[in-house]
Amino acid sequence: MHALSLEMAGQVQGGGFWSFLKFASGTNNGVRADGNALGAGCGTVKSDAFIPDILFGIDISQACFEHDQSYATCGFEKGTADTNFYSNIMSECGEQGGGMLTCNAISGIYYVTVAFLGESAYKNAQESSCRWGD
Amino acid sequence: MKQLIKNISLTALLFCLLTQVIPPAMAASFFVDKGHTDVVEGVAFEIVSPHLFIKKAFKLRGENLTPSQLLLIREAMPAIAGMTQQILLRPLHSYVQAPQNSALLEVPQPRNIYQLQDIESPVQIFIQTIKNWQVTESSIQFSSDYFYRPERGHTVNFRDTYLFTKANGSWRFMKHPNSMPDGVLQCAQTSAGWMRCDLAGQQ
Repeated sequence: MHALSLEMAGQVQGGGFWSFLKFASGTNNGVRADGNALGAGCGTVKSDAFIPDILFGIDISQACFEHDQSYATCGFEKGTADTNFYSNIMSECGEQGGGMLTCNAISGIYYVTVAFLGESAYKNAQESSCRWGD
Repeated sequence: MKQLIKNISLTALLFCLLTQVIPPAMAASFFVDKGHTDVVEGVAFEIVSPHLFIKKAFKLRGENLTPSQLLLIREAMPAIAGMTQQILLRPLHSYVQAPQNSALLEVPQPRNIYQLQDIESPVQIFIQTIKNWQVTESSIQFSSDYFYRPERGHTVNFRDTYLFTKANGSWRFMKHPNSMPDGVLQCAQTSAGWMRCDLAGQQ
């Protein structure tokens, strides 16, 4: 556990090029715009400000909520959670009018990231979940 | 799955770049959530296990809560998170059967959303946010927004409202303030790109 500094969770969002791409992490001055705690949606408390909940104008936060909760369900397979994550982003992207290229790019980027960098997050969530009955 | 394999090749380049930029130690530190202390209006909330992901869904900002009300929510947070976890879990056969213990029958139980919405296995419900707080010294009322993805059709967003009361120094679920859940929410995308869901007419 650690204390949170504002610098750490500063908003990575802005005008110009990023604005054109509609990139938003959902945080502002160290707090989430939706009022939830940092780490809800896409990213963890440390990475929330750097991992977009909106990419290319597509809000993928629900897919992130589901992915987090799947990791934190005792016995849930990582591969299933990651594959569901991919399909959910594809589905949300399609429902929000995303084109084939955009949807493939977003789901591909996020899938590869969780598949290859999510192992320790998965282990930690499973350990906690199975210990506490989360 | 075919599409997935195709996309892996498309994103491999980006991934290589990513792994070069983010060393494993930093990645672990960045992507592992071990909890944190969230300070709202001077009140410190321990967003930690158990039920870490549920505690992160507590909407405590933009709700016009005073520090004393926040202190009461902090006190009730473990009980609210525990009840939410009970709701999220798909009921097993033992849950569907009538409880044998008469003492258990007297304990108020929250509504079963799986039964209410006729959600078939293996579909799961997920929590998105816990909000609309109404807090007094002895009671806390709030709404929980859930979502699930039926095998066919679009994602369903659903809201129910709960009332907790404090008795003998501990908080527990007392009842639903309304005889029926708030029900299915309607979602729309804001100009900033966010999907926001609310009851019809309240968006």
